Amino acid sequence: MKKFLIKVFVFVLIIAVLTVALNYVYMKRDKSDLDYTRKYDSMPEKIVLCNFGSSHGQYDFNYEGMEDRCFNFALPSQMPSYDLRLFEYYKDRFSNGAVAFIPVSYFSIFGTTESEDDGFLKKNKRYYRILPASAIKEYDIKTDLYVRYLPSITAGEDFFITVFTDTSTPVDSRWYTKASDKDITDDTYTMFSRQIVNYVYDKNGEIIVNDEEIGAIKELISLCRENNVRPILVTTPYLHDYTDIIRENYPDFFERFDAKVNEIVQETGVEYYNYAFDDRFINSRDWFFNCDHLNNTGAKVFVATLLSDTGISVS
Amino acid sequence: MLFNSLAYLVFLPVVFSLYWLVSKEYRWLVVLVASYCFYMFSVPAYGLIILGITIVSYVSAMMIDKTPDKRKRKSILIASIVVCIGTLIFFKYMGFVGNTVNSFASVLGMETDLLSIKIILPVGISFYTFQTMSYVIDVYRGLVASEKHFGKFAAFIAFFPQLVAGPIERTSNLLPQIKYPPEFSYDKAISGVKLMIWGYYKKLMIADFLSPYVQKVYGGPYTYDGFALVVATIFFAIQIYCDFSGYSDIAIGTAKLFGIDLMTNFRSPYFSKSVREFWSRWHISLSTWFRDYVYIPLGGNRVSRTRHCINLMVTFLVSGLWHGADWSFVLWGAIHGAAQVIETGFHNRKEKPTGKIVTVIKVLLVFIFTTFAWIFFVANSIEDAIYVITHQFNGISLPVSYLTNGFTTLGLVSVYDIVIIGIGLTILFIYDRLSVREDLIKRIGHRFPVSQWLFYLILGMIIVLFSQKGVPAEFIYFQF
Repeated sequence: MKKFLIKVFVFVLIIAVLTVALNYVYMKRDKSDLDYTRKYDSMPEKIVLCNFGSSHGQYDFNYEGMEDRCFNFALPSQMPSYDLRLFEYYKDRFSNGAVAFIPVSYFSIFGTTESEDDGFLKKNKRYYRILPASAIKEYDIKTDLYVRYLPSITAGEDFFITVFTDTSTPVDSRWYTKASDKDITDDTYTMFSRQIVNYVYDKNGEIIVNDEEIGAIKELISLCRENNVRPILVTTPYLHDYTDIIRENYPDFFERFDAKVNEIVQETGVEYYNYAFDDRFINSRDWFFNCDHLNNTGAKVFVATLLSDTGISVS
Repeated sequence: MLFNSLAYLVFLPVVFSLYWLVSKEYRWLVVLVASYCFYMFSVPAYGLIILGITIVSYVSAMMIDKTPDKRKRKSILIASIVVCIGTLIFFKYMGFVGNTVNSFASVLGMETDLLSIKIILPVGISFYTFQTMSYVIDVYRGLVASEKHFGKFAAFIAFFPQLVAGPIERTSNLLPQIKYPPEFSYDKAISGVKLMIWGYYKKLMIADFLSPYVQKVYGGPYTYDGFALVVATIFFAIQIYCDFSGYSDIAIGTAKLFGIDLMTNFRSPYFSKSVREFWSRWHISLSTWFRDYVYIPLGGNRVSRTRHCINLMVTFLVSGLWHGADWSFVLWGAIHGAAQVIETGFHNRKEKPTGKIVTVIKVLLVFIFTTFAWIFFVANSIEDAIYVITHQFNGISLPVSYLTNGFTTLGLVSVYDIVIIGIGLTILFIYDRLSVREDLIKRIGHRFPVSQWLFYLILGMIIVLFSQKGVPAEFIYFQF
């Protein structure tokens, strides 16, 4: 028995040491930013202007030249309930009188509960890097352990890619392209299907109102105010191709959306700016990289437009 | 509790320590408590089902043993089997029966909504009901005596390594080892650990790696055609083998840590030269169960040729139904039964040894046949299976694009993925090829006592690196 236990112990010990060593190499070599959370490492000490939101927030707000005061909290497919959790956790980093833009996309207030999505757990992993356990939905200590301390174990085949190749993620190249240089017809239809047909509407063709996320928006507005941060709701610009296809298929969609957002505005008294049909953007294909996301240039223009329309100066 | 969970990583050393720390006469108690904890870990109510079945079979066997009257003994046996099968039908086949009745009624122009109840299937119920049935039948046949000690009997039925996915153990093998625990054997324990490492390797490195490609295609086959369907089917053939034989290896290896030998469940099945040989190498504990309790009681091969063929078909139809409550599983069983019937027609009792090339051709043909049959096993419906069969050669007139499109649409484009799958399958192939005739684990231990350390450390590292990569990790046979 003793011989057996010693052998098994030595075997397990060697495996453990090798795992820690390989994990160290992996973490050193891993320069990728596949979940877009590395930007949180360089968050300004005092934020005077920020935005939350999904990819509409992530791509549509370009704070080039103002990175020391402004921060983009948005992550792809991020829902308002996570905007709220992020603000709660990082609220001490905000200057007195700071401004927070809260993008309201169609799927922010319509659609199924986030945790019912197939890809929820995979998407949820990214918050383990940037939020404490108490703020994470469906927190799981095992995932926490792997994400924070043993990422190599969950990497699978990516382990070898990371260790043996250069994993520095190039800047998201799509952001530097122009919709005017390509045919976006198929892409527009894909976005419409994914974001509206399959997400906002149920199988019977009825709009699903997401009360949980609407509640999160209201709570975020109120929490911003409690912390002397000025909340501003924004619907980001889209190319007319995107809104046209929605209107063609669901003629009353925008009325329903406006009515829901107006309810929030009425109830909270928050400022709201809707750029979905703004003439300055709807035909400006040079400012978009696809039907519903601005490119690098467009995002700079949009921030300037917003600042001008809201009378905010970032000093 | 899953073998590939963190909970099991804690559970196993604790149970191992307790088992060897307590005196021999109480080891059955450690096994019993550990087994019920293992089984009730995720759904505590499951414990009641296995306890109920254990009580019924315990009482039935005692009554059979005590009753001299043949007719009474038979009545008790039938009652016990009805309870076991009835429980299985209730949990596993109610939805299937309901849907079949409803479909049949709609064919006759009637609207029914009978029995379409969805009941959650308790994990492993098909395995332990078969184990209890074989116990009662063996007692009835006088092959074993009924067990008087309820606790030891319950530990035998619930022995955790093989409880949820086999091997389906026979009373004569397992019960004595629970009742009279052997002394600790260093060789047995070490070979158990090595077997577990192999099992984890098969499951985590191969089965779980191939699983996403199979799921992608068979989750919605209508968006695929051509070579992608062929690759997904071949991947499933390998996945199910590695998944299930991996589970069996871990189960047998775990049992060895407790000094207990379970029966071999797989012996390189894809190196079989006939379908008949395949079934003597694949899920051996189930195949022999059906042989002993269905095929032979029906008359086996000691009857007319027609009756023999019927016996084969009945056995495989029941085997198909055992695997899943759907007509596609029945069809899968029928295909294997039909193949055996055809083989029986050509079977030459004085078979001459064949050359290497003929052997390779036979092995390939059997692999192609079993892989084809798996289509009905993995597809969600017979319609899906037919779609796969009829669309898998689309575009084959342009062989290069047929092959490249297949890999591309499957998403198998990364060199790393292809290399990892290639290395994984090569090791599996060599291991299985060499295991056809001998115990490879023993051979490695004897011939390379020092370098085997490096070998198992590499396997161990592969297991660690691929253990949590985020694909669904449940064992396929849990659903049966």
